Amino acid sequence: MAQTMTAESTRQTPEVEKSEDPVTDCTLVTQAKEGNLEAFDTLVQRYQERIYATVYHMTSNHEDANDLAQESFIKAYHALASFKGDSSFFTWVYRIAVNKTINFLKQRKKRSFMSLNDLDVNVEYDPELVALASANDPRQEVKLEELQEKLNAAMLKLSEMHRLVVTLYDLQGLSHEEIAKIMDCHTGTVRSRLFYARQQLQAYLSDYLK
Amino acid sequence: MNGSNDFRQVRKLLSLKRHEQPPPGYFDSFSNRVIARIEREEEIAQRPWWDKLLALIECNPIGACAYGLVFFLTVLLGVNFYQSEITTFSNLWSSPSVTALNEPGQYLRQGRMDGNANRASDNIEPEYLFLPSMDGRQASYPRVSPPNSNGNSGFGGAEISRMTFGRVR
Repeated sequence: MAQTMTAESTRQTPEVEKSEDPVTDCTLVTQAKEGNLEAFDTLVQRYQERIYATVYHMTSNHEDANDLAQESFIKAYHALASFKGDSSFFTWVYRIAVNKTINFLKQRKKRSFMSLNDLDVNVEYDPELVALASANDPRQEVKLEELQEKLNAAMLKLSEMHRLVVTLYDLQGLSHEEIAKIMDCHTGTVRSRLFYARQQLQAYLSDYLK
Repeated sequence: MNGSNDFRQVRKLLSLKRHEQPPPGYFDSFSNRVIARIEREEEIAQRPWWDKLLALIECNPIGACAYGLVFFLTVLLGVNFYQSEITTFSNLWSSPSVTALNEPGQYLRQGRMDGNANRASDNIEPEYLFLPSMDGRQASYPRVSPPNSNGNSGFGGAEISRMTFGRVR
């Protein structure tokens, strides 16, 4: 599954997907603009996991991520007429989802609570993570869940922009250039935000880092 | 560099988040839910306005109730204000001074032609002098007879009392 791949291997994956797919995004967008819902359905299926994951990592809440991901695609469908093709459809729909999520987070600032998804079974086969989490603790599963909670709490302490950079670079595996396009800023800004965000996370999670 | 080494650990820790997965089968129906919502929105957009209103009430009954309450209170206040205005006007209209204004030729019949007379208009606020309901009436005067030999103008009390206000035809 795309989400369980490492960040390095998934970097710029959407471009690869686009070229390998028999029907390009551009063709599907043209068909969807003419009201072809099946074409738009294909586009949704192509990017649903990435959009959902981005929103989920930003909110740490499954229900909110579900609503926001759906609303992002609905907004994209209604705004298709304004899509000129200057950027890829992937970048464009990402930008919609990111803006929607940031607006949502600003509104709910005082009532943030977590509704975390379960960890998949593969996590137990990741030796580095197990080593990091267990640390001679026999209750490995409990420890991983606790670590997951601490990690999400630390992520929520970051500002929206810093959290977004970490999400897009470290979790989604996008390149600095792609993130700069999505966030409408320079790559230098992306790099500096990423550095600061990691520094912050390091401070928050110092107890869990050897 | 020690800092980059630490960041490697942070990134390793962050990779735990990539193992967080939504409930099984969640993505199987995700696109169907999106398309269903788009179709529903398009269907609502094609409905007449009252149908859209009903759909809105169905979606958000609390919000609809709140709007309804605000609308009802506004109408209630409007009616109340209108009634109070009507009462003010009718009270004013029924006051003796205004009644006097309405009765044609009353002052003249009473012989109050001098400047010191207590005229009805003196007791009324200036803004009420030109009420919209006061129809345009013009005074008609009897023909004045030429002065007689006694030097009287012929504009005596008796003649004045015959003066009336009548509608111009």
